Amino acid sequence: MLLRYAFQRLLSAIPTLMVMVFIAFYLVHSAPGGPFDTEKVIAPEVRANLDRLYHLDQPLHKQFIYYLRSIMRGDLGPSFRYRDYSVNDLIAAGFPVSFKLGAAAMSLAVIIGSLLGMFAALYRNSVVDNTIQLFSVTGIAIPGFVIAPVMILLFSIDLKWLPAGGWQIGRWSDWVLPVIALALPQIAYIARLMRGSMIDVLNSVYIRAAYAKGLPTSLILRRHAFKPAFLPVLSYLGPASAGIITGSVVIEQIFSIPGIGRYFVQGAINRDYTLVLGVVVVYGILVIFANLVVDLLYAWLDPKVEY
Amino acid sequence: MRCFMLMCLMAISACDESRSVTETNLSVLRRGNGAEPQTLDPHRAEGVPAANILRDLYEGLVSETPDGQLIPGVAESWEISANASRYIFHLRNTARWSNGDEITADDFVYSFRRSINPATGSSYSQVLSCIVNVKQIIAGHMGIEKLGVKALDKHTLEITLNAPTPYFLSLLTHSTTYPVHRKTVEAWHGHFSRPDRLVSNGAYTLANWVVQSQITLDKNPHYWDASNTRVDRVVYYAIDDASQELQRYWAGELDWTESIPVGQVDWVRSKFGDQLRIAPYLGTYYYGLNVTRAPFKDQPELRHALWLAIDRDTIVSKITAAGELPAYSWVPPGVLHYQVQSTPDQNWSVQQRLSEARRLYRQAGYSAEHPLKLQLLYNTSDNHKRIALAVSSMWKKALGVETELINEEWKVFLDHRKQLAQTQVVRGGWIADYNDAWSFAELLQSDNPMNNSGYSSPEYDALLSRASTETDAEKRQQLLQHAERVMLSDMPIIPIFFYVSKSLIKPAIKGFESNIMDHHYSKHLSLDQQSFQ
Repeated sequence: MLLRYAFQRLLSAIPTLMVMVFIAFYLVHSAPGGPFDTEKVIAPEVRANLDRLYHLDQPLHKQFIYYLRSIMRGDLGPSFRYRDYSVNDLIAAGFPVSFKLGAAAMSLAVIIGSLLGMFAALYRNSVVDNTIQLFSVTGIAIPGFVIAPVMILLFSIDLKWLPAGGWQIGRWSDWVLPVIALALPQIAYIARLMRGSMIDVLNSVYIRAAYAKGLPTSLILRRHAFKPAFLPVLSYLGPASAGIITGSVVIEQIFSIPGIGRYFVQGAINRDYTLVLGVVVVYGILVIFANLVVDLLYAWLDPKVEY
Repeated sequence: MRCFMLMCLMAISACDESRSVTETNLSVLRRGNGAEPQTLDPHRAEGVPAANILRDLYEGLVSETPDGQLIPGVAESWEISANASRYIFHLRNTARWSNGDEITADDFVYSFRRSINPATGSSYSQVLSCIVNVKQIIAGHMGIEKLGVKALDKHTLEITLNAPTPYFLSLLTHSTTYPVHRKTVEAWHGHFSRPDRLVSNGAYTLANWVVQSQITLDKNPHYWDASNTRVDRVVYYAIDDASQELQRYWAGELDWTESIPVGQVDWVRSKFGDQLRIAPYLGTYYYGLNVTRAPFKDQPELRHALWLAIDRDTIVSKITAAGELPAYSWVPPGVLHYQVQSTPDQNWSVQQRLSEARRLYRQAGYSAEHPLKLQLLYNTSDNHKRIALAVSSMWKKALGVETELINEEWKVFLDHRKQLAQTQVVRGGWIADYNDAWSFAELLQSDNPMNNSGYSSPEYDALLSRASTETDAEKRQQLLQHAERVMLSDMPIIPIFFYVSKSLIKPAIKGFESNIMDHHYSKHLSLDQQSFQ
C-alpha cells in the first residue's frame, strides 16, 4: 500500500518537474543579455559560431525541445560559461558539498531545535523558557546573511578559531560556521514548534495518567510524549528542506563554498542558462523527494495516518 | 558508541595532521583572484582573473620582468626586419611541455592558427589583427593556412605583420598568443583545460580545480627555468567580493588580495600599513555621452559644460581615495611612446571652470527655468553609485542639471549601452590589453563595436588609419596624439580618473614589484618562511 502510494507520488512529480523546467527556461531566457555578452565585443563571425554551437541561433521553442530531449537522456547540457565542463560535471562536483552542508544543518536543526523546544515546554514560563523563546524569535527574525558576517568577525578575525571561508577537502573546521549559520533560523523555528506541541501533549489525559502511574518524567518523555509532539516538526521538515536549500544559496556565497547554491547565483549573473536550469532541476527533485519522505515518515510515526 | 565517535574524531584529526605535515615543506602562495575564470584555455579565456593564472601556466614567445620589462620567454632571441614588419624568433632548445615533449616552432604555428580560427570562439582574436591576413581569416574570407605565421625550421618562427606595430612584442605576453599542446587539444576536442588533461609550458602545471572555490598550480619540473622557480605551489581562490577577500586576508587565509573594498582604503592603510600596495594602472574611468541622440547630438557646448562642471579632484580625494589621478584625457600616463594630452581647462581654477561651464550651458539653450534633464546609466555597484551621485550633484549645483540615476545589472547594462538607443550618459571603464596608445585610441573609431558614445569623426578615423600604416615610430606617435586632441575637442566622452591597482600583500612575499599593467608572475616570487612563522 505504502509502496503504491510512493510510486504514485513519484509519477505525479514528473509533470510538476516539467512545468518547473518550462517556467525556469523561459524566465532565464527572458533576462536581457546573453552568456556571450561581455565588455569585449566578439567578432560577428566568432559570435555566430558560438551561437550555432549552443543552438542560440534557433527559436526559443526549438531550444526548449532540444533541452528537454537532452535532460530526458540525463544530460543537463554543456555549461555556457565553464566551457570545459558539462553541467553534469559541475553538479557532480557541487552537489555532494551542498548536500553535506544541508544534511548537517538539517540534522543540527532537528536535534538542537527539538531539544530546546522540549526543555522550554518542560520548564514553561521559567527563565529557561524565556531565554529559549527570546533566542527563537531572534533566530527567526535575523536572516543568515546578517548572522554569517557577524560570526566571521567574531570567530575568524578576532578569535582566529575558524576559517572565514573556503572549503577544503578534509578540513572539518570549514564546516562549523556555515552549518551553524544555515541551521540557526531552522533551529529557532523548530524549537518554537516543538515547544507548542509538547505543551499540548503534556496536558493530555494519557500523559497525566502516566504521571499518576508514577512513571519518571524522563521515561514519559521518551516513551509517550516525544513521538506525538514531534509530528508537527516532522510535517515542517518538507518546508524546512526548501528553507535550507534557499538559505544555502546565500550561505555558500558568503563562505565561498563550491556548492550548487553558489552555481545558481553565479549562473544567473553570467546567464549560464544550462547551469541555472540544471540546478533548478536538482533542487526540484530534492524538494519533491524531501516532501515524499516526510509523508512516508508521518505514516510510520502516526498510526492514525493511512495511505 | 562513544568509542566509535572518539575513533572518528581521531581519524579526522589524523587526516588534518598528515595534510599539514606535507604542506609545511612546500612553499605555498595563496592568492585571492576575483571571479572564477571561465576556462584556462588561453585562446578562449577572458578577463583579469584568468589572465593571472594563465601567466603562471603558460609562457609565450616573450615574457616580463617583475617590473614589467619585456624579456625572452620561449624565444631566447629575435630579429626584427628593417621595415619592422617581419619578426624572426629563435626558440630555446631547452623549452619543454609539462609532459616532457619538446616545444617547436610548429607548436606556435598551430597555436596562432587555432587562436585566430573563428571555430575556436576566441573573443580576443581581433587583438592579433596586426598579423598578415588575420582580419580576412576571422571574417571567413581566407583559409587559416594563409596566416602570416610560419615555421622556418624546428626552432625558428617567422611572423609577418601588415605594418610596423610598436606594441607587437608586448602583445606576445597576451594569452591569445600562448602555445597549446596540439595532441592534448585534439584528443579532448578542445575541452582540455581540466586538471587531469591540461599540458602547459609555463613555470606551473594545473594540479587541481574546484569550480567556484580554488585552482591549485604546482611547480612544473620540465619548465626550462625550473631551477629558479621558488614557490612550489600557488593556490588561486575565486572570491569575487572584495570585502570577503579582505576578511580572509585578515583571518590569515590569503597572502595576497586581488583588490580592496572601495571606500575602505584609509582604514586598510591604517590597519595593514605597508602591506597595502597601490600603483598606477593602465586604465581610464569615464562617462560616455551618447552623441547619436538628444541632448548631446550636435551640442558640443553642452558636452563641454558638463565636462567642466565635474570636479575630478574631489572625486579622487573623497570618493575613490586610493591615489587615483584626475583624468583630463583619454590615454593615461605611463603608456609607452606617448605623451599625455590634455584639455586647456586642466590648469584652470574651480571658479574659472564653473563660470565657463555656465556660459556654455546657457549658450546651449538651457537655464534655471529650462534645465537640462538627463539620465545617467551605470552598472549596479556601490562604487559607481557613489561616483554617479557626486557627479550628478556637481552638475546640479553648478548648472542646475536634473540627473536621474539609473543602475542596471551587468548584462542588462551591457545590452543597453551597446544599443545606443536609450542611453544618454553611460559609465565606462577601459583597461588596456597591451601597453600602447592604440589600445585606447581604437575604441573611439566609428566602426568599433565598443564605441559606446556613437562617436563618428572622419578626421579621427583618418588619423588612426594613417597611424596604423605609418612606418616611422615618431610620426605614428604624433598621429595618435593628434587624433586624441581631435577627439578631446569633440568631447564624446568625459574621462574622470585614471585607475590604480590596489592589493594587500604579506611582507613574507619577496620579489613583488608594482607595474603599470599589474602583471605578476609567481615564478619571480619567493616566500620568506620565517616571517610566516
